[in-house]
Amino acid sequence: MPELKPGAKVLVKDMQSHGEVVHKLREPRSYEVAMPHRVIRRNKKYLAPCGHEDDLPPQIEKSWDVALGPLKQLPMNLFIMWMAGNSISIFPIMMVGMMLWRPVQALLSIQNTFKLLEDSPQSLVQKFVYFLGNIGGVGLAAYKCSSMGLLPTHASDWISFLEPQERVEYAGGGLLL
Amino acid sequence: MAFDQTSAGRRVLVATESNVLASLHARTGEIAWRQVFRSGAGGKIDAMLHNESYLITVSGNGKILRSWDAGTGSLVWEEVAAVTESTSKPSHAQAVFAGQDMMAVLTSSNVYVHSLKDGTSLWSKELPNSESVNYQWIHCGGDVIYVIGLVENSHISIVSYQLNNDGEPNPQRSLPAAWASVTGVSCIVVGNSNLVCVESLTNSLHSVVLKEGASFISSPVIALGLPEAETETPKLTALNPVRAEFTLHLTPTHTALMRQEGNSIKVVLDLPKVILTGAATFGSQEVILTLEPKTQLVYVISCFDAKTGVKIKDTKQLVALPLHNGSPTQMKEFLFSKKESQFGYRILLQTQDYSLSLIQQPGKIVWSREEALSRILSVEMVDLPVTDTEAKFEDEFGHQGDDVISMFLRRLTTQFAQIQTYIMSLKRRMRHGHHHEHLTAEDSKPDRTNNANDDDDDDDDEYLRRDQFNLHKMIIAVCESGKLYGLDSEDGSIIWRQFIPNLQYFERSKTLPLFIQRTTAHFPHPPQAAIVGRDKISGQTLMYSFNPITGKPSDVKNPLGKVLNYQLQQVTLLPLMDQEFLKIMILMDTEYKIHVIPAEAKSLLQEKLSSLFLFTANASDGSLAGYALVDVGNEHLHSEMVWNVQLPDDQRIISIAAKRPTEHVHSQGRVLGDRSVLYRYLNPNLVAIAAEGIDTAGKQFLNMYLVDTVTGSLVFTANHKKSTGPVHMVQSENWIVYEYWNSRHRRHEVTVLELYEGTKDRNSTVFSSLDPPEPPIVMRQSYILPYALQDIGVTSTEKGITNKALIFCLQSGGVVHFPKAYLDPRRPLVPTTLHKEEGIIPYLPELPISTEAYINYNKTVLGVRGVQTAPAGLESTSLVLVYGLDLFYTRVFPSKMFDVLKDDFDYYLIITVVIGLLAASVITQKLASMKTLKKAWR
Repeated sequence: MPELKPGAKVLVKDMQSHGEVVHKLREPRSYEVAMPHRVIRRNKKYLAPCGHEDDLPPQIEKSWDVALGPLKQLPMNLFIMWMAGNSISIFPIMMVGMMLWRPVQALLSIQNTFKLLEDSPQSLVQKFVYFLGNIGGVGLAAYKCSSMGLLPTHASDWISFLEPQERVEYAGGGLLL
Repeated sequence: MAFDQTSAGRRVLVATESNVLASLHARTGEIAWRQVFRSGAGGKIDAMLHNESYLITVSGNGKILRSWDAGTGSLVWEEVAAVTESTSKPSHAQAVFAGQDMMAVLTSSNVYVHSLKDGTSLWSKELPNSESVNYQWIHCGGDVIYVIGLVENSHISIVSYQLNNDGEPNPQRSLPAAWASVTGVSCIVVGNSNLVCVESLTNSLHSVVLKEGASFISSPVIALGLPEAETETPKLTALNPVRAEFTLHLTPTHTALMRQEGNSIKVVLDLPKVILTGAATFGSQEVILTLEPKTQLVYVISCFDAKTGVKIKDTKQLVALPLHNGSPTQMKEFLFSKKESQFGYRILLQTQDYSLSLIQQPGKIVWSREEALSRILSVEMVDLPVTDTEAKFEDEFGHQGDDVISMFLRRLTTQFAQIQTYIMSLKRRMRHGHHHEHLTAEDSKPDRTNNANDDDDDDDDEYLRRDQFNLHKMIIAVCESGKLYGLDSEDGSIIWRQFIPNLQYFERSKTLPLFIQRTTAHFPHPPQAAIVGRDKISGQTLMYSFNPITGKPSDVKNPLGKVLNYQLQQVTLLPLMDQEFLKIMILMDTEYKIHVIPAEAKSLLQEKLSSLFLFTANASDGSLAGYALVDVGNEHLHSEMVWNVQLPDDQRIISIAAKRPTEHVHSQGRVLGDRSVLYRYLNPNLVAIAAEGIDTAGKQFLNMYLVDTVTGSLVFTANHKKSTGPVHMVQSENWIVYEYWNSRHRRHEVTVLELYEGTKDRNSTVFSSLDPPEPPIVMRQSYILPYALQDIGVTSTEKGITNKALIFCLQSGGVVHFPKAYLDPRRPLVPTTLHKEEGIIPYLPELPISTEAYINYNKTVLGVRGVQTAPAGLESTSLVLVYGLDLFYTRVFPSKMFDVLKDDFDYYLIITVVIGLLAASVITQKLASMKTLKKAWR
């Protein structure tokens, strides 16, 4: 690992905050780091340089975590779906309801989540992945609904909206009086 | 009709045209017992014989003899007489008592004598030349039975038999009588020896000694000092066969008391104006009772001594009959001794409107039975009007162009008025208890029209208002006699009645069409109904329109109906209304002219003319015809035949079923197990026709035709081999259910036909018969019905959401509520999971009737003529009226009461739980806030 120069921005791993290297100490791999309020001494092991191109900064990693969250949920959802079965009773309905509601809720508050991802340099991709994951969740829930027969996809679901046919001709009569 | 001799006049025995033998309590008019014979000709009561010890009926054209216990109505014996049935002549059997313990019966071809004790046949003889001679009278004189027959315009033939000697015949005699005609002659035996006849051809009386007389001695009516009968056939009535006196009814309003003296006939008493006579023996005295009209409603009853023709003192009485009874048609009397050789009498009077009244001195009507209600031809159930305040609410929406403030003020005042009436009704209820409770408690039909106090009047007005769920209705019944009734659906009491003397039903179809032209929904216009019938006098059409709630005529100028100068072929009510919300009626006369009622609505019809059609069916020759309406100018409408269908092979139409025009069908299709839709074929112009015929092998068959009455196209036909009617049929929604007799398997069967358009999406929002959809898919299935039926009805509900159920009236007197789901042509033999998902019951050939399905419990309903159903305000409820000899009214719930909380609904539990939860949430809220406060302090 290259030596850190004074003035380099670093991340203090155990404190999870940024600081600036003041200078190298005499002890091996030890640096004095200026934090916003005080100056501390740390082994290089605990310092990670920021703004370096080669390894991802932790912020990006965190953003990816957020972005991939919905996608990671999908296999779990599939399993729950399979467990719930196709019968219509209170628990499967509740499960499907939750499955549907969570991604929908996420999609509704997508602006807030995007704000979190704003700082990340790959925010566009992350946003897209996040969005896709949620859409996948909704799709999965919709599929479940349809396999449970909850979606109005058949003609029979619209039958009560069918207006009675209007009568054009009128014929009356019967046996001769 | 006779007074029961065994019970000292406490009972009245009646044998009726509806094939019923009954005994009534003379004091109250209630039925003591009743025996209902088979319906139709087979159960027709030809004669009722009654003396101190026996009550005998002869029914079914002399075929069945029955002896009854007059006290209890139980059957003593029953005997089937060996009669050779002659099909050529319609006949009416005659019966007389013969000797001490025998009876003789005369049919058109036989005479036979049975023992009264056990009914055993003593002898039976076939009458000579029964094909050419009309045997009409039978008389038993001592040991000889005389049978008198006539040959039209030729002679009278007298056949006599020894009563005892196994009926050994005496020589037959023929007396020349050129005046003899089957319809115009009336003969009786007078003084046990002479045969007296009267006829209208020469207007003469003819008499002959029954035993050995060789020719008639004639005496013209004029020669006796009596006026000639003009149009009517004169009639003779014997008083007592041993006496020489008899009465002669010259015209319906002129009677004379006559006596046979030796060879001549004398007038004892000329009784002009007398319309009815009766005779009874009191001690040694023979008394004649006469009834003559004094004014239109008041009748005089007087008594004469038959021997001298002198009026008996203190026996005259005046009877005022109510207006709705019409004039008397028959009377029967019962004399009882009062004191010192004086007698009192009761009179049983039958009037034109088929009601029966008992009259006691002095001129008091003790009771009156409305027997017209046993012969109802048409029934409708009419909604009662809403209360005045509610009507004002309706009124609110009627005005247009009102500003918001005035509407708001009106709403406030009406609601205030509503509160006021509510408080008033509460007050009244506190004072009286519930007003109409006493009425429902009574068993027999209470007659509210008679006991109307002035206080009651006001209450009644309030009482005849629509209730919350529109369950309380007015039942309008039109009876054969021309009498109309308004019945309260709550307890069956008569609210109003009206007798139209000249109203006669159409003989050919035996109907009296009743139409509700305007319902109570169109406040402030009064509701209106109309009856179309035949005028008794002119034979033309008679139309009577009235307010169905009050029974008052709508047309004040013609309070007893308006005679229209044409004869009707067909009449129908259109769903179109004129400006006053009156539904338009169109009538087609025998010259194919169209008449519109009300006449002012003609212009309204002009634009709709091309969409109006009429059809007629001729039951006897099996022809159907459809007519279109055409304008021939000059404000005249004509009908033009657009199609006709002739059923082949002399088929007779026995039943026609159309849909109820006001029917609502909620669901347009049927959802299958795979969640696709089978769309219903809902052709409003479809009519189901059942026809009977005989095939080439001589076997009877039944054909079913579904005809579109606009185009005449045959939508479907079905043939049932070796089956016969009577067919009972209903058509509703997209299905037809009919019941018939399968003569091959000797069982009753029910078939259901259901019509579907298919599973393809509909592409039209209108149904036009002229541009019809594809021919429907007809699904059908038959079942065995282990019961005989009297009629079938089908429930109807407000919006048609509730499942349909059929009302089966069983021959045994039960009324059964039968879910339509059992009559489903899709019932599979081997059910699959899809069928199970759909909830279809697997097919079983027999239709089970569970005992819980009987909706009339132990109240048997006999002689059913029809079933009428009406929707209530509750969607789950259908009102059912079964009418016939008895009236039966109830509510049915084909899909259970899904829109009403159950009686055992636990209001208290629900309320406590809700209150408990509310309290809990308030308390926990408090606790939670306290806890957070504490936490914050820590």
